[in-house]
Amino acid sequence: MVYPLINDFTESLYSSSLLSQGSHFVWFKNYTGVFHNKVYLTVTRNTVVWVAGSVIGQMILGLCAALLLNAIGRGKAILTTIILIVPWATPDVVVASTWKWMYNAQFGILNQMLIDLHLIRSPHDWLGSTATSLGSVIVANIWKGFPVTAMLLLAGLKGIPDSYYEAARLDGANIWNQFVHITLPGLRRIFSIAGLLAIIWTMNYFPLVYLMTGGGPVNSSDIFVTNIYRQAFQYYDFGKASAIAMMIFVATLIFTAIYSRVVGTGEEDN
Amino acid sequence: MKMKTSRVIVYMLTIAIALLILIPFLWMIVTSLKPYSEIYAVPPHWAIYQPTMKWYHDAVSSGVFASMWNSVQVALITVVLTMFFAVLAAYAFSRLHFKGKSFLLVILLTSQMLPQILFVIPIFRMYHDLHLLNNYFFLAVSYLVFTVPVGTWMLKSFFDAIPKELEEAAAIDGCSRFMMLWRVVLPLSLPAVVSVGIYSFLLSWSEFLFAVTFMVDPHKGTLPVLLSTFITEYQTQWGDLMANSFLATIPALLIFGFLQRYFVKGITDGAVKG
Repeated sequence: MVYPLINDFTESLYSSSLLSQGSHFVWFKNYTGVFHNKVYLTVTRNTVVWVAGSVIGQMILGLCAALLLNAIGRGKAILTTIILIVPWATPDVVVASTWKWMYNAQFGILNQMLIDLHLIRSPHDWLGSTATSLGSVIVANIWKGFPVTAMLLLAGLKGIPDSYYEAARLDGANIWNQFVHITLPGLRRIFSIAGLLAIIWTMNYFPLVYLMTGGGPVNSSDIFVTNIYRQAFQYYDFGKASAIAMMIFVATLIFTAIYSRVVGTGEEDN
Repeated sequence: MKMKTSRVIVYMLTIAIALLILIPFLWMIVTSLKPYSEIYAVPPHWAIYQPTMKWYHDAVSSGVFASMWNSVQVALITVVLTMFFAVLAAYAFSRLHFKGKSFLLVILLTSQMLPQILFVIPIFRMYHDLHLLNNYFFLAVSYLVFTVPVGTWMLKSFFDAIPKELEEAAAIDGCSRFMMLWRVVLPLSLPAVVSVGIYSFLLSWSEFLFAVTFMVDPHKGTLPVLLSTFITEYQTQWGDLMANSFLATIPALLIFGFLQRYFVKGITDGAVKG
């Protein structure tokens, strides 16, 4: 019925991108060219840091948010809206520009707040220095992306029976022990699903990095997708762009397969 | 007594996090109300000494509502089309058995792993050749590649959890497949359906790459496209940008805010059951 249509979409786009790789015997040259280019070491490292930093940050913040929102009664709707919905509903472009403005070296409020808190002594160019450019975008990404994780974890928390906690309390377990031995194992399944989703989405998340730093300065925040964009739209090398994109796709597939084996997607019983 | 203190701590922590999360949003609003001199004050400050509506006036007169209307049109089409395809596909995956079912499901999932950029060039070429650029409908269609798989997955998990007995009972009463979907399954899946709607709306509302590539006519740009015009190679007009950004964010927040009850329920139920 309808699935051929969906299928059509994905299929036609696969073949089109292969076409744009140009004639066949150029094909491998694009791929090997990537392996020989040292820039791609930086890009790979950046992508790994980008994904790891964002996902771990989102998980931790998401977990805190989920635990807190699960525990409050009154005012839940408003607080939930603020914490979860504001970052998520804000359009990518708005997130990128607002954070970029906050990070501004001369007029940004972030520097001022950090100075007032005596955490730094003088204004720092967060997005303009190679050491902090990627990290700064990661922070913005954590802000924008943690609600998804938080919501999934919130769902998972509701799935843990209260009776477990009561039994633990009767046995004299304190809050920390309850957390480690009941909450965390109970969330294991959701964690692995949320983690996989977060990794895949973050890996391909283009707008934030592109709009905040464009991949610079000097490739310090260049991740694969921003690199692909530049190859395609600045250098007009569609073949190379498609080649890299294909490699990413295959890498993602392999990664997902390994991830499912090792971590498990939670299809087994808890 | 012990209970009370822990409650207070939890509330305080939650409010603290809420405030931290709001900082960027508040900074956007504050900047949009400041006059030029205060926006570029050194050192920067939170206080607004001479609030001004200038940026909002400029936004309105330079057509922010026109862009907003464009965004609305695209978003509505996206939502309607997504719901149509996702509901049908999810029902089919959930209730029917056919050859290649698991294969298609895998394709559905893996399509999520492709970077958006990979799609831009082929679709642009296709639309260009077919004279489909600057077309709201086909921009929305291009969003389907991203919204339908996720929507189908969400709905399928939800449908799977609805007992088939209900439909069997309806079948005995002479219900057709389509009526079973429309009268039995859908009403029970309202939270999930609303979630899919919200998700597609948000995706369409904030989507940037396709919009800026396919909407070549500046009058037909959506909000993200409009916002990007304030960032030029040489400078960024922060006052304008912040005011327009606020106006661009409000509809999404309102919709989400009102419907969040359904959305959270939809996601959580789908996740726990799926």
